[in-house]
Amino acid sequence: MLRVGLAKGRLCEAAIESFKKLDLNQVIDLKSRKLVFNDFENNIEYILLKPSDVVTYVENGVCDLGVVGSDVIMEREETVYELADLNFGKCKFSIATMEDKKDIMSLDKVRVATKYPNVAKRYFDEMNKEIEIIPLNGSVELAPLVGLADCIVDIVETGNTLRANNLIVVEDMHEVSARLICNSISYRFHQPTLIKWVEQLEEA
Amino acid sequence: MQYLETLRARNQVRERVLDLLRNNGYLMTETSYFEDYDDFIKFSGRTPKEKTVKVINNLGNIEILRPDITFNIVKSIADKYDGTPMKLFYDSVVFENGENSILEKRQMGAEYIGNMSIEADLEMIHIAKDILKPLGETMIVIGHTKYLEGLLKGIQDVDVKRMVKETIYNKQPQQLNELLLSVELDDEIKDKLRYLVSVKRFDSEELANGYMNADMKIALSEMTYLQSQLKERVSFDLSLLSKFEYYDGIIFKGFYKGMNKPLIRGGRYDRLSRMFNKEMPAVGFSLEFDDLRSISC
Repeated sequence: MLRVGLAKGRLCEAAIESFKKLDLNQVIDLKSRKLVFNDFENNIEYILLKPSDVVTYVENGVCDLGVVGSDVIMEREETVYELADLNFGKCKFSIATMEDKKDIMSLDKVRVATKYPNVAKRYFDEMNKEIEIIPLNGSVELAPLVGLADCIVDIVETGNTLRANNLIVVEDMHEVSARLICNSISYRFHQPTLIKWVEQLEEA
Repeated sequence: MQYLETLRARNQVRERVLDLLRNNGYLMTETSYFEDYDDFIKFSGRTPKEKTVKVINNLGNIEILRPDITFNIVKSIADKYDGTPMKLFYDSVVFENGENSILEKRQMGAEYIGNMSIEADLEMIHIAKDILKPLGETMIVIGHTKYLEGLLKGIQDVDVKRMVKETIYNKQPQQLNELLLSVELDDEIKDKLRYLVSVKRFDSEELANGYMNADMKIALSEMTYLQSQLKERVSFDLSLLSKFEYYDGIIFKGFYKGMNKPLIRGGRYDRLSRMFNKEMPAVGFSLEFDDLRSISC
C-alpha cells in the first residue's frame, strides 16, 4: 500500500487535480469531514494533514508520499526526497519592509520577523549577516509597521498584502511551489511506480 | 518464562548471522574500544562530530569511544597485513551520544581485506542479501563513490562539494540549482548533476553520455557488472552517499520495508589504510544488530 499525505488548505484542491493525471480513482471528498480516503482498487490511502505535518509524516515513513509547498519543506529541514515540482501554489520567499527602511543590510544586526525562522536564518547566515529572529505565527506584515522588526521574511504570492500595508520587496530569496515528496526508504521499494507517476505528472 | 523465550529468539537471530559469516570463511576478530579523536575526524565525513562520545585520558588527550568498527579493524591490522587475503567479522558494540545518554548499538559486520577485485564486492553484497533474505521485503541499494567524485573533481572547496553531493543524495533539485548558480563548473557537468538528482532508473548508457572521465568510467563499468550479476531485491543509484567518507568505490545499503533507516551499510575502502601507511584493499559492511533483532523477534 502507498499512503499519501495531502496538505489541507490552499494546495489541496490543486493537488487532487494534478493526481487526476495518474489514472487513479477519485476518492477524496473535501466536503466531508473525513480525513482518510481509500482507493482500494489501486491500494492507495490518502490522509489530510496540516501542511507542516506532511513533511514529518513522510520523513518518519508513516506516509510514503506527500504533497506540500516547498516553503514548508525548506522550513522543516527534514530529509525527504522531492520527486516532482507540481507547478502550482507558486510564490516566492521574499524579504520585505517599508520603502524608507529598505537598506536593511546597513544595519549591524537585522531584526527579522517571520513564520519561517530556519529559512530566514539560513539565508542571512550565507550572507554573513547577523540577525535576530522574531518568530511570529501570523500577520507578519505588522511587525515592521509597529517597530517590532526591521523586515519580514515571508512567502509572497501577488504582493497585494504587502502593498496594502505599505511594504515593498527588498529581495527575493527562493522560488516556492507545491512538490511531490517521498520517504527516502519508501522510494527504494516503490521506485518503478514512482518513476511512472513522475513522468505522468510532468507530461501535461 | 517470557525473558528466556525472548533471549532464545534473540540468540537464534545472532547465531544465524554468525553461521552465515563462518560458512563463508570469515573469522571473528576483536577490536579496541578507543579511537584517537583527530584521526577519526579526518575520515568521519557525514557523521556529526557531536555524536561521538569523548573520553579524556591521563595526558589530557581526547579519545573517543568507537563510533564505528571498520576504522578500528583497519587500524589494528594495518601493520600485520602482508598481502594475504583476510576474511574477518566482528560482533561488537559502537557508541553514540543520544539526547540524554550514551547509546550502545550492537553491530555485526564483515571485512574482506586484501582482495581488490569486484568479485570481493559481489561476495559482500551476496552475504548482505542472505542476511536480509528471511525478513521478507528487503532491498539492497548499490552506488559508487567514483562517479560523483569524478564529476565533482573541479570543485576545490570541500564544503561546497559536500553540499552538492548532499542535495543530490537527498533529491533536492531546487537546492541543487540554487547551489550551482555560485559554483564554477562546465554546463555539461551541471547537466549531469541535474540528471542525477532527478527521478530516473539506473541507465548506464544515459549516464555515459556527455562529460566523462576515468573515475566515472570505472564506476559505470563496475555498476554494470554488478547489475549483470545481481537480479532480485537490488537497485542501483549513483546518487547514493555513505555516512563515512572513507569509502572509495562500490557502496551499498540494505533496507527493510517499514524500517526508516538502513539495516546494512557497506562499501569498498581501499584508501583508508593509507592513514596507517599501508596499501590494503578492503571491502566490508556493518549490520545494525539491534534493528535486525527487533524486526526478527
